[in-house]
Amino acid sequence: MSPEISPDTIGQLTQLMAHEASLLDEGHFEAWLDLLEEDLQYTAPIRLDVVERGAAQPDSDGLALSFFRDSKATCSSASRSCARA
Amino acid sequence: MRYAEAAALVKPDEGLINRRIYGDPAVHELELERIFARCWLFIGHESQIPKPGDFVTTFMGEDPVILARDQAGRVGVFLNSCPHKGRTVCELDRGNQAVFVCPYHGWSFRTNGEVAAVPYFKEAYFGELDRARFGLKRCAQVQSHRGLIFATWSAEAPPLAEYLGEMAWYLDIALDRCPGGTELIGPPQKFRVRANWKAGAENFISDFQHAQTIAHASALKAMGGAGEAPADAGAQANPAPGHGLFMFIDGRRPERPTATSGFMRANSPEAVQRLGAFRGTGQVDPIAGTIFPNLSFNLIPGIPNLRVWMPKGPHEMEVWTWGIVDADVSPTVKQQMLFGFQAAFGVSGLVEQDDGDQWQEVSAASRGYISRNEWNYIGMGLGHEFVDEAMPGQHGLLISESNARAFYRRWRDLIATERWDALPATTHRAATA
Repeated sequence: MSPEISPDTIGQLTQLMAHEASLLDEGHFEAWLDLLEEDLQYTAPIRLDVVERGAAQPDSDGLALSFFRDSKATCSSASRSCARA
Repeated sequence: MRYAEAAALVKPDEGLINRRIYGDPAVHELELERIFARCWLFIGHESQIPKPGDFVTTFMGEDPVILARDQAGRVGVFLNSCPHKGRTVCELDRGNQAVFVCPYHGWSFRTNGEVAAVPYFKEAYFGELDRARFGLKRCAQVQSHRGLIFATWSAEAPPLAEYLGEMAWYLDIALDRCPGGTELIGPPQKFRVRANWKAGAENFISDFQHAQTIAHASALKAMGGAGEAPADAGAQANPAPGHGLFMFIDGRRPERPTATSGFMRANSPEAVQRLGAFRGTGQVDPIAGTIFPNLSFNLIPGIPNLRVWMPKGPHEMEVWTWGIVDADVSPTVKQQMLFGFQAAFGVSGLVEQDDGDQWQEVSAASRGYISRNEWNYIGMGLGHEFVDEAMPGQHGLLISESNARAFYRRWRDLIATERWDALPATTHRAATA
């Protein structure tokens, strides 16, 4: 089953992504940050090769490292590091 | 390439390192043989394999290995390679199993490495196969220091405690300040950097300078904190052959509240009781260091981490990194440390990205014929090493390269020397050198 997305929506999404990329390419970091929702969660979990029986459990505190786990705050911090003074 | 020829590529007492040690395939092969197949290497943490049958897979040098706790509760490290045809017998990252079954011909092995079953044992081997001979190859020695498990293929290597020597005096400031010890936060991030493994090991043992001037300027601007530290705000120490760390001394680390500040204050009486007043009150305040050859740690408050620089050929390494935390810290603080660690280190960390860029550019610029035969200079503070009676090891200023020279003395000695008992006992600079 493919989700139903109208050609208009696809067009809008494509334009949004192109706009986002151009803001980054041109160094408009503040404008790029304005695109992000305040409660943004942007994460890439680490995938493991495990078998289900005996699969690794999260540790006792339920903590797990991910490749990144960004919020608007960490994106703001990173964009400050990219911005030229 | 002969051992002596490779060993002559480093001249620590002149502060000179020939760039061929970072890229020459022949040098790399000698490293795998004389360093990674002989030294004690970090394998994992006891907290990763608490129960019988628990295992994790990793690498020693470029050899795949399995760390497993067998059904009797004993910890072993095995070559992850079937003695029949050489295939890896376990492709999982971790888990709990009673046996490992080679996917090629179905030979199976217990968690203590012994053969469990061989297909066609009766019908085609006629019951004559000596199964005791065909277990998984086992590391000669496996030992732990405060939860950190190390192994070596060398039966002649000295015990781990002797190998770490007085490095343990410094390590225990982080590993033994709480009754519960430490635990790793994983799973480890694994990422490739197109640079020689020694770029990381050398940076973490000695290079505080790069963090003070330009390399991390943008990250520091974003994250706040550190500016230019005075060269004598602390020291670097080489307490045992090839191992070292650099540290602030006498509370000269710039004050900055972190996720762990409250815990550290509350834990201080306990730490003093366990470590004594000098080490327990933060007067010796480790920043980063390396256990020779390729385990490094970073103990920046609030975001401490461990990493292994795994060689993948001379021009590439795979970095495996975990958070390391006091087991007694609350889950909330652990969570904060996890976020802090990820923001600074690892693939999306602002600091780590800076380092990866430097090391890859070093590697990229050192591949041509002219460049690869040049000599790098690691002579900062050469001749100004000193002894501090209160702490083990030979020291250099916090901003110096004395530990890099000690690291390469060990590298040279291991490449050049066949027998453990013939290795020089120290990597300190001789007074008259």
